Amino acid sequence: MTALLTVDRVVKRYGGLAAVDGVSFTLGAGDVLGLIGPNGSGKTTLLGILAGTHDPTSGTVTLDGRVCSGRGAHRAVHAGIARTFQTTRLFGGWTLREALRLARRENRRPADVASDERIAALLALDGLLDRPCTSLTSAAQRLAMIALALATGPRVLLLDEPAVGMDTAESAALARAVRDVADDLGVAVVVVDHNMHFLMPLADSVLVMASGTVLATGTPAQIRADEAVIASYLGET
Amino acid sequence: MRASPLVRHGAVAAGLVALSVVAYLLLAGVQGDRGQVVLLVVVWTIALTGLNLIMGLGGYPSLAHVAFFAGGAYLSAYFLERGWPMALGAALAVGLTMLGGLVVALVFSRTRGQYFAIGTMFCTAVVYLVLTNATGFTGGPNGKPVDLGFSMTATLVLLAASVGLGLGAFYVLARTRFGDRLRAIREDEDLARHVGVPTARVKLVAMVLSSGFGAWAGVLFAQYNGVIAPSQFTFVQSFLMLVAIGLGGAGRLLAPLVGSAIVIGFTQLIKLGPGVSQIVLGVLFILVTLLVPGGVLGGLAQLARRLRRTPPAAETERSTPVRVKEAAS
Ligand SMILES: Nc1ncnc2c1ncn2[C@@H]1O[C@H](COP(=O)(O)OP(=O)(O)O)[C@@H](O)[C@H]1O
Ligand SMILES: [Mg+2]
Repeated sequence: MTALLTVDRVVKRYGGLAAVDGVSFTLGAGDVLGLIGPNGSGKTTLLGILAGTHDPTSGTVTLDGRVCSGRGAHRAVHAGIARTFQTTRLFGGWTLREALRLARRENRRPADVASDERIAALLALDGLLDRPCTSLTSAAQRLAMIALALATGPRVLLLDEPAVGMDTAESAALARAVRDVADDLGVAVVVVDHNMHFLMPLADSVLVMASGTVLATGTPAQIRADEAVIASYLGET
Repeated sequence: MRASPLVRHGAVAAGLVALSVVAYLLLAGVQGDRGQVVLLVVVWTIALTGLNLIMGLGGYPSLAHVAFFAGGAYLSAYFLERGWPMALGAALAVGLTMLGGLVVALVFSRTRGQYFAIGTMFCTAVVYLVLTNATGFTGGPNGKPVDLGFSMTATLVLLAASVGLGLGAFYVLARTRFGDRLRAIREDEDLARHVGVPTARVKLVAMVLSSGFGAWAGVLFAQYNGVIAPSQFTFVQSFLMLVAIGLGGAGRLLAPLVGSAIVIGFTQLIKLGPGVSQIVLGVLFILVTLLVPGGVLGGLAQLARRLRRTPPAAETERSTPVRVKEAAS
């Protein structure tokens, strides 16, 4: 099977600092990749490059054989890569339905996109579609941000610390939702998170970053056993 | 409870026709100083309908609007002077000014917030310098007379019709995807980009359209007034236009009308001495911004909602902050 997403030697420099320093990996449809690493290791920057938020200094991101990096976030979304943010971002006073409608209309493959109700059901947001986003609980707002990304009809979904501020039950529900998104919609998902209880059962494979480079990749079980990872990261938390 | 969309659109259309009729009657009937006030309110309403797109819906405080206003006035006067037909001169004046709007939009496409405001203010300053110094073309600081291109009746009809048609265009635009895109940009431009909105292009189109409104208002102003001078197109005017949109209620359909009435009323009717009325307006602007962020119309809408609300239903909704994004008011 050829990969849906191919990340090839991506580098992002800020002045002298290489926030991302030659990261490569591939991802197939329906795969969930866990992305972990200490603070400042370049996870958010890497997601930003995939999503078109930042242009890479060098390297390419290819979706289905087409280069889609370095062309701006709106083109990345049109190509099928959507992201959420580490801090909650929504169109404040809008209802979720209004926001989903905007995202849906910007999308060029409307037939592929699940309905508002389906997206809401996937994320356990039923009944909250017509409330202003600002009136939702913070956990619901994190889910709403994912709903918004899904309304663009992505083939790759990038989640930056989605479980932040969630309790155990909420993050378990989130993990199920992410799994459903991957299985039912065939979306490839990259999830950044520090909460291993949330991430490890969810991920098909895990990529560990340190100082902008790939420290290790493997299944969750392999990563748990990897001494270098334990030394640099898992051991400290 | 809500009227069907068709009924609402019909009511808005009827209201705008009525507004045009009233504008015509006032323009034709009121003389002297008060006539000047009516003219300015009408002209500003036309111009500010454009500003309400970029600033009201899109959240970009453009201080270049008076430059577009001047562009329409001076360019149409120039083409008339050269003996060109008025309709052609007007079309060219508006077209060239919109080209200027495109340039401004391209230059400042990467700036936001106060930097955008300062950048566009710079445009106004440059245009003012050109108006005062390019004497051969502009008549210099004292300005110049404008030949009559349209008959007086035609000018009055065009002014009155443009108020209704302009607001009608805004009403329609605010309801299209373009309106949603601009509102998304106002809420969170980066997020808008990440759901697929081509933000740069949307802002560009909004700016160019906005400059068209300003230019057309300038054409009609020059025709009615008969003289144009740089003092009518200063940075202070640009600032007051921005204040008018804020006071009226940014993004709301009638904000240009209400805002113009307040600002022109203050500067023209209440003679507080030079500069003082601007200070009062500035203070008023700050107060309204702090106390009623939705402006006069936003405040009224909020009040109306509160009065209409039946107590039981109120409980669930009251806790949510009331945000105003419908352009209709
Ligand atoms: N816009 C920027 N300008 C300069 N340095 C940045 C910028 N964004 C991120 N960095 C730096 O890049 C490194 C990686 O940051 P980030 O991707 O946010 O890490 P993570 O998400 O893994 O915590 C950090 O050292 C950070 O300070
Ligand atoms: Mg991060």
